[in-house]
Amino acid sequence: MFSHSQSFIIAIITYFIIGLPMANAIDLYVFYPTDIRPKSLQKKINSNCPNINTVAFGRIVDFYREIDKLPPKAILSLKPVVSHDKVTKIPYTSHLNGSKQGQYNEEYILVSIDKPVNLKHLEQLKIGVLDILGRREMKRFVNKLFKKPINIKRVIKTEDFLPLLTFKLADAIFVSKTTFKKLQKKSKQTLIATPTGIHIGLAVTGIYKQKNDEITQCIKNMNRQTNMLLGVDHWEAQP
Amino acid sequence: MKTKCFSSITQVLHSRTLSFILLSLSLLLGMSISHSEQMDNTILIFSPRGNNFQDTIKGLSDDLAGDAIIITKWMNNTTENDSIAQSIKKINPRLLVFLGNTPLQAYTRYQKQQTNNNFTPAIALATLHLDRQLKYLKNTIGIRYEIPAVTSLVQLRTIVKAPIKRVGVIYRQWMNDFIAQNKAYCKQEDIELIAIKMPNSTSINKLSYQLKHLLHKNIDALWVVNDNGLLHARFIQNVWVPLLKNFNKPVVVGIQKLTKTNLNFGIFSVEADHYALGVQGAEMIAEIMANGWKIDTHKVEPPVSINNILNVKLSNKKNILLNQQKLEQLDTLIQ
Repeated sequence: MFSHSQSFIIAIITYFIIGLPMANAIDLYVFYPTDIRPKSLQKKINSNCPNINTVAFGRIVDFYREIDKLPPKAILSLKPVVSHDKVTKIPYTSHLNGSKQGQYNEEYILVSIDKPVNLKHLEQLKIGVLDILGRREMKRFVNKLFKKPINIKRVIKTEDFLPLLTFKLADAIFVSKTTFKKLQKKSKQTLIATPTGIHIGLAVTGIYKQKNDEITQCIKNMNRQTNMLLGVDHWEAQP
Repeated sequence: MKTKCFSSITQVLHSRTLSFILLSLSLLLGMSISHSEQMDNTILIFSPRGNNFQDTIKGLSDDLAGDAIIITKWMNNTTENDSIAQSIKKINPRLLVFLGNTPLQAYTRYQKQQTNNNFTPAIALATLHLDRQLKYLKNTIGIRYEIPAVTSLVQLRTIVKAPIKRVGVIYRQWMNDFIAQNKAYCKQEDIELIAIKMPNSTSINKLSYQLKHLLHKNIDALWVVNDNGLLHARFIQNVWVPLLKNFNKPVVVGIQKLTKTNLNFGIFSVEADHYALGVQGAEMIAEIMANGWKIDTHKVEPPVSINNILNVKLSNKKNILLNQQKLEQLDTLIQ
């Protein structure tokens, strides 16, 4: 058996020789927007799964670029990311679904300062969103969710939501209820939530070609603290 | 006039395939592109060399991939405005991007020399005191480089245990508007900026007097603005460092090197996240693109995303209590 570093070198050499992506160099790529830095998230997952070679990304563009170059055995991200064409074409298939209090998705709301959002006038507003798909895809995704054209302003880190509101670069931000609670703790501004009825899938994993028991076990057995960071409390195999 | 200070075209990062090939070939072969033939969605960036600027260009390029051809011209301090003129004439871009103060100043001189007012839309990024510079520029908008105090202080509030409600700042007269704006932003977050204004012409004695005065105003933290006139080496050595030696509360700075342990000055520094700045700029460009390459706003945005550094060692030395579990939210910890 090769060590992880040996596998990585072999994969790179193969990639350059035959010009095709090869899996298995890295076990798990993670893109999950959290308050903590990607290197800290990576460290936490690695401490849960010492036998799994994990890389966590802070930017979606790097995540897509790297899985395209050298697909890892598995990926972990929010459901819309793992379900995206850029991922499924490789191909990754759904593997484990994260759930929280028995739910596989979470309600997303619009958050504004001082007064709620008038959903009838949504087209006239600028809505801040976290970029999980890239500029063009993100716009399509949000339009599809709201079933109308939405003028979006993207941020690439969750911590950037508050400046969007403070500097009035967006009229409202589109965030999960969990993010809203965190923002309320952080800010002294009067943040008002407007329900949208939109639910978005929680963290899921995708697997490259075939299931890997080691990765499955690692993710299923992650500790409470790491699961909380990933917005879930339980992992279940895709039926 | 100097004309050779530009490097040649350096990067063609993303493009529609045909335009990319045509442009690359023409550049490789040293051919000029017909002046009347405007390449689709070509964006010309003028930038000094440097890692931060490269990160910003990467953010722009990543985000506009597939929608624009991006060409970068590296500039240095002696670049003259006729070099800008030549590049604009040769490449005939849809939009110009200026990174850093030097290219924008050269472009200001270029605009002054032109007889017509029909300027290519432009955006300026990573430029200090942008609002002042934009007064002299037409068809140009941008993103400020300075991080508003509220961004730093809200972050600081989450990592230190003591309350952050009154924050002191010393500034020179020319920064009046900037401070007024920051006061308003801070007020939204229930933070009061206790600001002391100094004349534009200052001295060690004047700064020393005002800083002593400020430190007696019962402030919870000190915010040091990025102003070369107040952060000259002799001021740091003779005023800031000695007077802050016994100030056991957070000092927030806007320059990473001011958080070095041996300097004994800033405990928390906040700078723009240069990659994210590029993405924010790309969003601005995408809006201009969608508007038929027209700028119809005078909007200047503050930067949204930051990179931060906490000097834990210095915080401990000053007995500033930290929320340990929040430290993972920071980019760099000096231990």
